[in-house]
Formats: sequence, C-alpha cells, structure tokens
Amino acid sequence: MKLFVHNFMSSRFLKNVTVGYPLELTVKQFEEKDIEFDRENTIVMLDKVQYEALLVAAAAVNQADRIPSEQPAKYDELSDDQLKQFHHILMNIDVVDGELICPETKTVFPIRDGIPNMLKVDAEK
Amino acid sequence: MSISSENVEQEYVHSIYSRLATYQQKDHKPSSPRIWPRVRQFVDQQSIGSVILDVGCGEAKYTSQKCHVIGFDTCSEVLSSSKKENIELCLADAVNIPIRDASVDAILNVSVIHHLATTSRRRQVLQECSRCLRVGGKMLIYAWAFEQPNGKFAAQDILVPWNMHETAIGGRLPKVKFHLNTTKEQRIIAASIPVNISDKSIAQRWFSGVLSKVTSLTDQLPYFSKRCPSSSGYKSNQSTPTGSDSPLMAQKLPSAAPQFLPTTNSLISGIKRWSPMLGRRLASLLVPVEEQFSEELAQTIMRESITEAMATLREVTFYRFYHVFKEGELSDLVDSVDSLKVVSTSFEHGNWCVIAEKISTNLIRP
Repeated sequence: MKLFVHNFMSSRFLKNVTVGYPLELTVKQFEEKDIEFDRENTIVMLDKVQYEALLVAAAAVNQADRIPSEQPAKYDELSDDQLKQFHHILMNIDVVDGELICPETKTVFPIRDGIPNMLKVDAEK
Repeated sequence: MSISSENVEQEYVHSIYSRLATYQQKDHKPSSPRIWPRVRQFVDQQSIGSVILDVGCGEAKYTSQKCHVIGFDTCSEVLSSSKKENIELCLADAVNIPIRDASVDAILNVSVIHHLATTSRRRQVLQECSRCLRVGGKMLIYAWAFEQPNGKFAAQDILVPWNMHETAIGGRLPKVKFHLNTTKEQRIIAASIPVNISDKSIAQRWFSGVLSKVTSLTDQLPYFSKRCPSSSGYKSNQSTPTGSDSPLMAQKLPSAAPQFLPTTNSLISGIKRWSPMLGRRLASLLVPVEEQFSEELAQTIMRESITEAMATLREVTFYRFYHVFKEGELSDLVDSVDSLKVVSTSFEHGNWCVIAEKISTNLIRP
C-alpha cells in the first residue's frame, strides 16, 4: 500500500463512527521504490491530499522531516526538490506489513503483503 | 433457518469467486484477461493525477500510469494473485467503501451491481460510490442485461451456470465437443435457474421457485439437469442456504460449487468416479510424494492434478447469482440516487452501460 492511499481511506463505514479520519497507521515493514517523479502529477495529487493525514503517514515511517510541518500555501510555487520529497512520501513508500486503526473505535485493519483488509466482517470478529 | 439476500450473495457470489480464483493462478492463467475497450477508454480519458476507484476490481485489469487507480474487491484470493504495478489493491466491500467523502475523481463500477441480490443493496452501492466521488466526478457502470441477443432469460434473478470445462488451461481451451447445436451463450442462458430473492418471512417462496425450476429443467434439459447434486455422490452441502428444516429441498438445490474438493479422500473418490485412470494415478502419487518431497511440491502436484481433473469433468458446474437489468432499469436506479445524474446510457454486448456524474445536491435543492 503506497502512502497516498492512506490519505483517502476512512473507517466511516463502521457502526457508530462519525468521521473515521485520518486512520492511525503503524508500519512494521515497508519498501522504498523509485517511481518516476512528475511535477504536474505531484501537484495535482497534493491538491487532493488532506495535509494533517499526510503528516500522520510520514510520521509512521519516521520520515516526517522530509516535508514541512505546516501545509505550504501554494504547491505550484514549490521547487522540484521540495516536491520530490512529497513524491517520495506519497508514491515511493510502499507499506508491506502494518495496521490501519480506526481513530474512534480503535478497530484494527491489518495490512498484509501490501494489501489492507478493510472488510467489515473481518473487523468485527 | 431462512434465507436472506446476504446469504445468496455469500454463497453464490463471494465464496464462488474465491473458489474460481484458485483455478486462475498464474501458471494456469488464460493468456490475458479480457479488457473492455470502453472501460479502458474511460480510464485513459481521466486527467493526469486523477484518483480512480475500481469497485470490485477482480483481476485488477485497468491500471494507469498517469492516474492513480485504487482497486478493491472482497475476494482476497483474486487480489493476492493480481498484484502488479500501477494499481493499489485493498480488500473491501462495495456496500461499505473505506474511502473518505468527495475525494476521488472517477469510479469504475464494472460487472458488480448485478451480483447484489436486492434493489436496496444495489442502490446502496451506488450511494456509497457517489459519496466517495467529488462533485463533477464520473462513474462508469456496467451490468448484465436481461435483453440478450442470443437467448432469453427466464427471470431477472437467476443462478447462472459456469462450466469448468470451458476454462482455459495453459491458454488453451480443453477440447470438448458439444452435442447441442447451440452457442455457449445460448446454453448458459437456457440453463440459468430463476430464484426468488425475498424477505426472510417469505423465504419459502425462494425454495419453491428454485425447486420448480430445477424440476422442470430435469424434464427439459437432461444434459444440464445431471448437475443437480441430488443424483450424484457429492457430500451434502452444509452451507447451502436451504437449512435443515427442508432436507428434501436441500437435496434438489444446486450448490454453488461441486462438493468433492475439500478433503483428500473425497477428492480422490470424486475424481475416480469420473476418471478411474486419473484417480488411480493420483492415489498412487499421494503417499510417496508426501514421503519423498516437501509439502510445497506435493501441494503443487495436487493443485495441478485437481485443475486438470476438474477441467476434464464435464459434469462440474459452478453457479453464480446475477440480477440482470431490463432496459431503463439501470438508469432509473442511478436517477434514484439524489447526488447522481445520468450522462449517457448504452447497450453493449449484452450489457447495459451507464455513465453517471456526481452533482451538487445543494444546487438541485435550493
């Protein structure tokens, strides 16, 4: 699971959960890939991203120092080098083994072989 | 015991897809999965950096380099054998999509909602998809049509046979000659079994609907009626949704999958019944292989033997549940969701296709 996916995920579908976002993330194992950087693509993605959740994801792999702790005002004014740091967090880091946790109910959704299991039936067992 | 729409989906959709996925692992995979040109085109039309959800992605056929596809499915077997570049995978259910509101740019909903058993559940899937879409985002929906160019379905809620011997092994279809002068599609449509999906209170109607059709099939179509597990030595199916209060009907219901697979003993006796030679070879292999080789090798041999045996068995039929859509039904369903608007409707190769757009509900309700 690439870290950008975490930014879109929510446990809102669980019973008695009102927001379910951002999910807590623990990472036991991850790979660092070398996905080609594209300036435009990165800016488009950052415009969709919730910054608070991105910081959660970056901290989960101890790489929060790559990106500013406050959301930049305009992404398209960032340099390529700055954007490459975002690109690295969003696209290059691939979580192989870990857990996503509902912030409200603390329901645990395991990530195995890079695939998160968000099935409600499994979560309720 | 009574039957619910969830039970039908569990037995005749979820567990059967898991089963079928095990026969489509890499070494047995037919050359490549069928890519639908319209779906490919829809993905390619999305602007750079778009986030696309593929609901019920199955083999994760639709990847993209310039967009970001997140595919999810309820079947872990098919997902773990479909891992590839340019798509992110997730185990999730279309009625409970684990994605935050108004966050994605486009959704693929291809061959999914015809597997849900009631109108309210089909609408729930569309509502969930709409919740995840940003305003202006588009969704491509495909569902199997009631109106078929090569046959006529007896009803809209049906169990559709899927024959193992029509599966390609190593890229080739096994050579099986059909004595019926019909196309594959015509046979499948003719052999479909109507079912009544109903509330628990009127569950008995479901049983009797299946029962009467099975009985009439036995008269009309001797070739297909042989499949009904009642006549063969298959183990009785504990999970058949008929329950223990109707043992007679339980015998008549086609189970979703043949029942001789689970244990080694029943497997070999099952195969022996259809191919004594293969059964003997398998039985002779079993003991020495387990003694001499690693467990992994033994499992590989077993798996290949099973697949080979299964494919040669003309008697093996799996059943999947479908709700086939009548003309206008799919676009009406889309229209019944406040936040969705139909952009276009078309009929393609026996499927209804709708492109829907997420609209702002504030605008239409001032």
